[in-house]
Amino acid sequence: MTIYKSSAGVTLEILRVPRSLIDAYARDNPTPEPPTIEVQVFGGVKEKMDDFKDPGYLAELTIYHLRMARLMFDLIVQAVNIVNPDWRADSRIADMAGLGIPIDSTHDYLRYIALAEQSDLTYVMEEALYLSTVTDRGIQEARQAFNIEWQGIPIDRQRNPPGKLSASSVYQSRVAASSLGYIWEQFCELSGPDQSAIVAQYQCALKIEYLASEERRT
Amino acid sequence: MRILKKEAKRITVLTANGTELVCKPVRKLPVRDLLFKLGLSAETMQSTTEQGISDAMEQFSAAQQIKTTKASIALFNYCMAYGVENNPPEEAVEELNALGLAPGTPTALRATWLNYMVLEDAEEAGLLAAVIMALTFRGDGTELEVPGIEPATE
Repeated sequence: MTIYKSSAGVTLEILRVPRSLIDAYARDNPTPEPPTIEVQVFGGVKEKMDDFKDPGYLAELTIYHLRMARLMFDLIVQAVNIVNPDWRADSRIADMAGLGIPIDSTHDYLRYIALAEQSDLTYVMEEALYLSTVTDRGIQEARQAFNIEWQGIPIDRQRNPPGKLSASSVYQSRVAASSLGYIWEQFCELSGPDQSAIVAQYQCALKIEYLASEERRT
Repeated sequence: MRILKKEAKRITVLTANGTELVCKPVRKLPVRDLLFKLGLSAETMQSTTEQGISDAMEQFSAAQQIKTTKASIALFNYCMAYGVENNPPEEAVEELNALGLAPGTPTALRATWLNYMVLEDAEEAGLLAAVIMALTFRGDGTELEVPGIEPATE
């Protein structure tokens, strides 16, 4: 749990969001695809290309980004409790009501008052994600704590194996979890830093294996 | 409406009735939310883009029309309340009081003053909101151009 005071002077408690919700957010909301158009290339040959300038697609993309930002907010506020002040007694609610923006719930209060600054929302989002799932920050912290060296040099500074495989971070988390004996549901119940530490441990183990195999080869 | 001065975080405009107003950026997240409520859905946003909002609104259900109208009023009020630095002069406040139009909070009072006593029509109101939203989302006011507004002459 993290305590944070936003620039609006509201003290918040940031907790975890169930990882399954975070994964569903990314999985259930694919980015809109642009339409394709036929264009003539060399020799009069026609080729299909994505039309990124299509007005319908651009409108759809704008709505998509607005909707995603809204969904992300809905997701993150589930992990936020208002500690201080009593939001119902905040005089800024009357200001908003006077403008035709009724603040009837903690959700509205967070959106329009407590977390209305982008920097506050960004901090709360990053913190909630850090506490809930695998993050770069969590992996970095774990790797630093492991403090692994190979021939006197930190393994982060050793070269990586040539990468040909590309996969989502969920795939990496699943492989790391299963290779270290966790079933996926167990893994998801762990705190974000613990999940990150498992992924970091898996990454480090692979790197050590690679460095050892390189040494054997030479 | 005419732009008098452009700065990084401020734009000074002159309204049709001769009032000088200093505009500043507002918070992005409430504006984004109100824009979303104004759009209602991808379908309505698409139809408003193609047909213009008035034509599109005629095809909305009554509930949608109410939602859209509420959101557009809230968006205008929010931009005026937090995106304009000037306060109404005393005589304007007295007049609004006499008409029974003066709301209880300073922010709502500013929005009401601009709406009833400064801005000439819906077009000018829209342009002022556009200046504030452009300042909010584009950041640098010195490079700002808003279609329909005369640029600064200096």
